[in-house]
Amino acid sequence: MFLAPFLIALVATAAVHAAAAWWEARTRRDTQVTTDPASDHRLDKIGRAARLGALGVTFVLLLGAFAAQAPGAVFAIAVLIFAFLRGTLAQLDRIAALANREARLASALKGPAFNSAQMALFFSATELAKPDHVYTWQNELDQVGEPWYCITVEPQHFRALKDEGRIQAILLPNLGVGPYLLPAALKVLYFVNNAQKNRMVLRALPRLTHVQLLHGDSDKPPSYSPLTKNFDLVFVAGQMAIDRYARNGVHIPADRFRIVGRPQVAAIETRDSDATRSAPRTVIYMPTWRGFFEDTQFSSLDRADAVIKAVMALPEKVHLIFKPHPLSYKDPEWPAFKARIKAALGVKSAAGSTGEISEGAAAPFDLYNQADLLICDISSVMIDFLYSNKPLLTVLPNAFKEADRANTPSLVASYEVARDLENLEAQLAASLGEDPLAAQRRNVRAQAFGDLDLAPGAAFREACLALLADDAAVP
Amino acid sequence: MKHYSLYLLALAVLALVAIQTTTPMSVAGFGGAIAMVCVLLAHLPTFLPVAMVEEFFGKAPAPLQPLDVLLTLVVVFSWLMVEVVDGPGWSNPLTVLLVPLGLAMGFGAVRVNSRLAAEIARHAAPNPVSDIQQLRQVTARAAYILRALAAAASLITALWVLGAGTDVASAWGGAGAALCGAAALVVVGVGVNAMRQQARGAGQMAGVALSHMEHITQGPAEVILYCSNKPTAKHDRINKLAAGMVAEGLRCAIVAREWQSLKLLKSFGATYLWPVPFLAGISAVARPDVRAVFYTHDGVKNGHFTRFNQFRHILEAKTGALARAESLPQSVSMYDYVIAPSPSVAAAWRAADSAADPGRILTTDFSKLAPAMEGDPQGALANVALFLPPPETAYTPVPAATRTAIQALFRHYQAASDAHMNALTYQDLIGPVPSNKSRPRSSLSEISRLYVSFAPGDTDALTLWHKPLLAIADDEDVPLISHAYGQPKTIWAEGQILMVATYDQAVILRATGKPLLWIGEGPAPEGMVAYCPSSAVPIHEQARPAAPDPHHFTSYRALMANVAPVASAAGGKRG
Repeated sequence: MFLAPFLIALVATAAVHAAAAWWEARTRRDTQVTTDPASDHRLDKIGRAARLGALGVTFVLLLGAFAAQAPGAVFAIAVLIFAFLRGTLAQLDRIAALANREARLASALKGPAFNSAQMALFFSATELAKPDHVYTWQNELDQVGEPWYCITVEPQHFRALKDEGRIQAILLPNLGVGPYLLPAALKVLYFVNNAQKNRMVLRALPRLTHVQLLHGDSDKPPSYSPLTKNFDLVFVAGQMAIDRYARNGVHIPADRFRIVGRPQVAAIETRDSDATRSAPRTVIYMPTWRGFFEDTQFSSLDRADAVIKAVMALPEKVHLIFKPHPLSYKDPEWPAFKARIKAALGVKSAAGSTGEISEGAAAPFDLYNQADLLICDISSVMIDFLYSNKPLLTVLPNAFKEADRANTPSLVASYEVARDLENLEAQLAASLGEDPLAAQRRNVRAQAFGDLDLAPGAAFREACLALLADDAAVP
Repeated sequence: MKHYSLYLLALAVLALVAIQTTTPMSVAGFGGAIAMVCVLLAHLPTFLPVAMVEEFFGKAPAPLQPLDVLLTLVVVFSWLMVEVVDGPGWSNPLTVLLVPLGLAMGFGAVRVNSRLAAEIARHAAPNPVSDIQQLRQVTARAAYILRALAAAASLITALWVLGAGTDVASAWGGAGAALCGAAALVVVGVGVNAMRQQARGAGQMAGVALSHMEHITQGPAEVILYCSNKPTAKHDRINKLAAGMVAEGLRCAIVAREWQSLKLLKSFGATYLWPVPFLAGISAVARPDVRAVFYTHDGVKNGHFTRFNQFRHILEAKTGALARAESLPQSVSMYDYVIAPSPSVAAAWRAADSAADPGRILTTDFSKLAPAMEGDPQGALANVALFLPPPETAYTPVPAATRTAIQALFRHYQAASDAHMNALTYQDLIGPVPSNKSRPRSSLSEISRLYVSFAPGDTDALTLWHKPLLAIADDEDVPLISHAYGQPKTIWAEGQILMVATYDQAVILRATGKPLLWIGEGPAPEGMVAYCPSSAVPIHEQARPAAPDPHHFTSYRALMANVAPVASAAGGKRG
């Protein structure tokens, strides 16, 4: 009769210990500050001894109680005391791990992986689940040939980078203190968006050269945000971007711009307009997301089903790939849109056209390479795709007014689709047929990409290296 | 004391009643019930935090301190009673041993946690955002709960023994209490270890935390006031320095090397207060924007900071034994500058060590004397100010030559008053004089006056040679002399021509830029003119402004600009 309580107590003790150990492992994971595992929080000798000691004493006590045929309450009390003790130790461990994050980070930043790097990329985007903007520049920064690392402030981004393991990254647990920990060797800090937290870093580290790269180039307001004025330098793809700031009243001195092209477009294959096209031709439809604000609402997502139906109704056989913007998944109406899109893709095509939704990891540039025609909204997709020399259709936003045309010079390179889609069929036919805008598109392309005379990425690399030179002149 | 006595007495009475009314063979009935009440009363206080017990019973008197011991002994007493009531012989010896052991460990754990946490917190200094309190609270709470569990184990076991008679299993209660006590010690051990590590980390991060705090609050500190002694009168100097600097808009930080002085230093209103009780934290407060460090005494620990040679180290030797020294000792050579208590002492120190850089010894006067205003009248109507030296002492006799010159000055204004009164009387007799542009009619208010300040506030304290002067000043027929008692600042502010009686005054008044006249003993200091009573040249023509002493400063900003100028920005952003 004494065996049952003894066994139950043994199992319960082991379970409590396992649960606490799991919680402590989770603490270690939650309080990581760099991609270097050496900087993780660890139990010291006293902590390990206390845990082992508590477990050992409890087992001995249970054995003693079993041998002495103690009442069941003794087993229960022993397990409860152990559970309380073990829980308290785990709680202390978590508090300590959270509290010593800065100290661990400071120590890790003294290591060679970080201490020698002169460049870093700061990334904050509370609305993004993954650090997509970092990936946009990852290869390009790698190709500069200098060590760099990513500074994150949102745990989900740090976690993604750590899990992926391709980029050295740190997590600043406290943006107030964190910037002061960065090594003195750091000279240049790149930014890929206009996140509000950027300014805390700008303010804390005036000694650095702060460079805004942005993560795309388009005629949308983010590409001429007044926040960009905060930076020492603004790297832009071409003269079109510089003009865009001036045209929208965002006055940035000319000497703060560097034309570096869009190094990412190296992955985009170009095609002459008269090149032979294989059948069935591929149409990519990439609507942008519905922005936070009225003035950033450029999406045709609400009309996507109609666009898709028009493509599927084309007289020639095509394959349509619908690629939603990553932020569209967070749109509360996305499930409804998706249902309508799926239904439109499922419509039987007379020409035998097919369609699919690309929700996977397919990179936009891979899709550009597959495309014979792109349908998009006013967004950075337009300009990136422009590099390919292939035709594109742009669906005008619902709120588009004729006066807005002056602010969207890239539109002249694309076949405009009216808000009500009434000319969609005609524009599809023109773009897939004679392509009368081919010459105009080439002109706009030269405006958009200022480094067409160089190999893709060369201008960017040179600009980055110039900032690391001892005699670098920064306005 | 009364509450404790009543409580202990009640326990004793209850125990006696229980023992007397309980038959050895059975604890049932009235005696058993009394024993249970006694056990309950003995254990109840051990469930409460000690502070709460003291709140309930009042502060325990010294013989009962620490209260933890008393509460443990009371439980032991209750167990002894249980033993007696339970029957002859020792039936639960293990329990009687283990219970107080468990309780003692529980009480000890709470107390050790509290004491060590306070000690450890100092290792985090000067980090202003250290978070050791959270660990301390969690550890204290867990240790307290485990102690209460130990008390519960003891109570339940005692009631069990009283209710059900002796049982071998009662030893498990004692074991449980001991286990809880041991667990409390383990928790505190781990907690203290975590606190220690965190404090060490916080100490290492102090520089970063201070950078942040400076950045988000009032900007980087420019001056450090280094305070390396316990609260003493010397702190007054720190207070004055801090107040003066803050008033001038300088961001100053007090570095407090003694933990005991923190409370006092907090009240001084410096921009920042950085405690650095341990040497390990000192590098953190050697902030990059600091230009100068002030010391108000030559403390032993000052050497910890003078090793940072990127700063200018300034010893203010205005008080203490050093202020009375005839020459500067070799041991203060580590300071870049020494502020002497007065210009005359500074001159003596410079003279005593002619090989040393004379510019290293400075003087200050922050009394904010009004400087000469542009366009100040310096003609016949300029008011003359004189501060009469204080009465003689054995150390500061007023030289005879000075007395003679001052008496001559008084007689000069006495005569001027006579002449002026006569002129007015004459004008009244003959009626108004027609306006004459070249010689405008004068009134008393337009005539140059002599403003005199008699140093002591009490006329009885004036010595013999002051009395005739006072009589002249008090005479209503001498309207051109106005006098007051007290400090010279007021009259020096009002006067347009200042009479200088001592070397110290000379240095201080040169900084005002006003015309000066030497009325002291011996030749006039360099750049000044001596007053000549017998000269026909009017006073306003005799007086001349003298160049300020380059080693004398009237504001902290001026001093800083001279000894620790701001480095010019070189190389721009990337430089």
